[in-house]
Amino acid sequence: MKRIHFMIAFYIGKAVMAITKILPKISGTTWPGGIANIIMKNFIKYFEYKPETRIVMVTGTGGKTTTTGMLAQLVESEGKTVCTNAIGANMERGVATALIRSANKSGVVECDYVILEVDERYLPIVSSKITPHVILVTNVLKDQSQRNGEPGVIMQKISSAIGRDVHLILNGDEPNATSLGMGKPSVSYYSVAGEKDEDRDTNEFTVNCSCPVCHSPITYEYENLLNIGKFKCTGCDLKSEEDATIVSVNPTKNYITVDDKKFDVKYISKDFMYCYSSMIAFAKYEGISDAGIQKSINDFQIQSGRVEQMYFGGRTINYLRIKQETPVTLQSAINVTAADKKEKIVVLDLSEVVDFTPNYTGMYYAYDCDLTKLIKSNVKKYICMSNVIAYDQATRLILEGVDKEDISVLPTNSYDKLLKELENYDCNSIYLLTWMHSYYDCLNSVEKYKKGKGI
Amino acid sequence: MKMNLVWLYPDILNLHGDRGNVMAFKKIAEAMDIELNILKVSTYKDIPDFFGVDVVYMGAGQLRDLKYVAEDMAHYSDQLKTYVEEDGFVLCTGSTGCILGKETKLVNGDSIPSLGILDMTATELNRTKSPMLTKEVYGDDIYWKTSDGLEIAGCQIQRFDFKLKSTKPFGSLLYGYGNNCTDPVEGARYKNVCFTNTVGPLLASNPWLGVRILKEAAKRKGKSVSDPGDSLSFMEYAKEGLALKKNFIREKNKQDGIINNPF
Repeated sequence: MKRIHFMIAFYIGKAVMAITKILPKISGTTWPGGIANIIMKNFIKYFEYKPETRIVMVTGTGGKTTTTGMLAQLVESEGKTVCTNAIGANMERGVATALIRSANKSGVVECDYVILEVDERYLPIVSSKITPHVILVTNVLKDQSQRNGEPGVIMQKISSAIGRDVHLILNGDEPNATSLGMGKPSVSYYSVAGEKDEDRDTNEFTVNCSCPVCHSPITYEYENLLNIGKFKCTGCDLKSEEDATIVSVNPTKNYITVDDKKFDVKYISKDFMYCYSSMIAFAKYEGISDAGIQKSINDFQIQSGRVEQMYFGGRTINYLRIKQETPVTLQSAINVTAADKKEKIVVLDLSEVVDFTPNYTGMYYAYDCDLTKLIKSNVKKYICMSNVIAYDQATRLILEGVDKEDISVLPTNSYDKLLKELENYDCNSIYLLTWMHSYYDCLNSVEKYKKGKGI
Repeated sequence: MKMNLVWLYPDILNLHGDRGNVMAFKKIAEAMDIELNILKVSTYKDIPDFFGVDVVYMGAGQLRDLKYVAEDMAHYSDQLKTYVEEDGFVLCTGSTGCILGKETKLVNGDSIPSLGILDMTATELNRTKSPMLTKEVYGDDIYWKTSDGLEIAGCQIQRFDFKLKSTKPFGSLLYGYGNNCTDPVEGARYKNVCFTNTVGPLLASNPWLGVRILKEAAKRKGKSVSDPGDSLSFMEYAKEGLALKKNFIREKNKQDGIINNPF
């Protein structure tokens, strides 16, 4: 009876999928699974797989999408077939949609790998219905406070989803993720080599984080990303795992090394290093060749809307995406901006938080970030824009030691006004740190500007 | 003039960029010609003699860490209580306030030891009705006035319902969830212990509160300090920012159950 119920839901899901191709306003990445889920509770539980199918779930605060994409590319490069979910469709209905798409007429998923990006809050739900062979945790950091409250809430959810027989692949440089492996029988760790940062060590306002095991302060020998680096707890034995897949970076030559093996890379930011490292740890566990790893790195394309360039009137706007309420993403954007030592204008548009109702003015996550390197990186002018929190952003800069004369405050969301403001400065390189919605606003304004100027 | 600020558990109580308050304290003090010495304390073993302390700051922490903090603070609770009774200043933001109260109940039946400085109870959120996005947390703007008339705008990420008994509130709530979404009051104040649900860089956005605390703390030492005036570089930004935020809050759709007094 259950099988008949499942097949009805499955075929209706397939029909909805066909409809979404004709009606593009309906999301083809979530609607088919969403409708099937309404028709049958626990719908995803009833898919069947061929015996050798490997099921992998990627979860965590940041890096899920990129890591999932890399893993899928990796196994494909070995000639394997993959079922994976679309970008952002990482809750139950997105997973259901991916399975509907890949399953044959009998509702059997015949792929060699099912590689799913799973929202960290939904991991207990999804993993209770589909048993994973591997769970990869990227990191568990501050994110979406309005929904999550604190990382500890997410840690409880992820911990509850880890079964006895699953193999864990964990970020060995992030205390929360590392602690998930304690006492577990089958774990691989990955990490990225780094260097000490004198600025961080001497700043009286530098803070670290708490240990997820004993709650004492964590200390870092170095930080590669915010709260991710070589760490140890001051109160217990938790520390960066030494028995890990460790990626070392050689940014000048665009290659990385792991266990004396070299892999050429296109993207060299620290975020990507962690994605490469996790992928290589996964490849080791699954027995995938070095050639497969290199092919996956070669073929990997960065998702659009994360790092983009816009050109107008001889100027370049380098857009770096941040996620609101997620300090690690803002810190990464700051680090990339600070790495460019040429004269530049930095535009901050953190905006009010538009995630859940009610929208609110929270920009406290900017205080988790360290701006020391940014203010030493030859910034000609800072422009703080937003019709709600422009002045709060300017205050953040002042508290880091930026002179008021170097800050321009634009209490507006209008990118037309920003482009006009930029005309006042003799500087062609602009960095825009904002969320994706504002990037598209900026893109539209740039096109309008060029049309108006006949460019 | 020199003053001493004790920053309690800076690595643990920094959930919402709360270090911004210490950064703001430092800048405000500079503008008032106060040399502010900041002492980070991460364990009771490093706690100084409270005789020389002018301000204590405790930021918001993760609920999972508060028991550890409370147990560590128990080692010097008597000294802290004497400091409080002698009109010493304590500023405490966010969920950490439960440690200063009398009783904290968690959903799992556990409790967090409390110092009993404020006559206040805390109950972990486990709501199933509006206004909640998830049962564990409520997040939104908060706008309120201290009992002596200072306007404060900021954010709250709420994990507890706080209920005041004999202790007076820190202020009256004009918009937001406040202590418990029912009573139109915000925070708690006993002598110079100030607790607010406003998390993150409260003093960066509302420097007038930092000015007030430092002035009063100087008076406690028998000294007088002047207002920072224009020498505080972000005072003007804070005033402009407050106006924008009030406008934003005023235009926000009213959330069910949220206190939204006309202002």
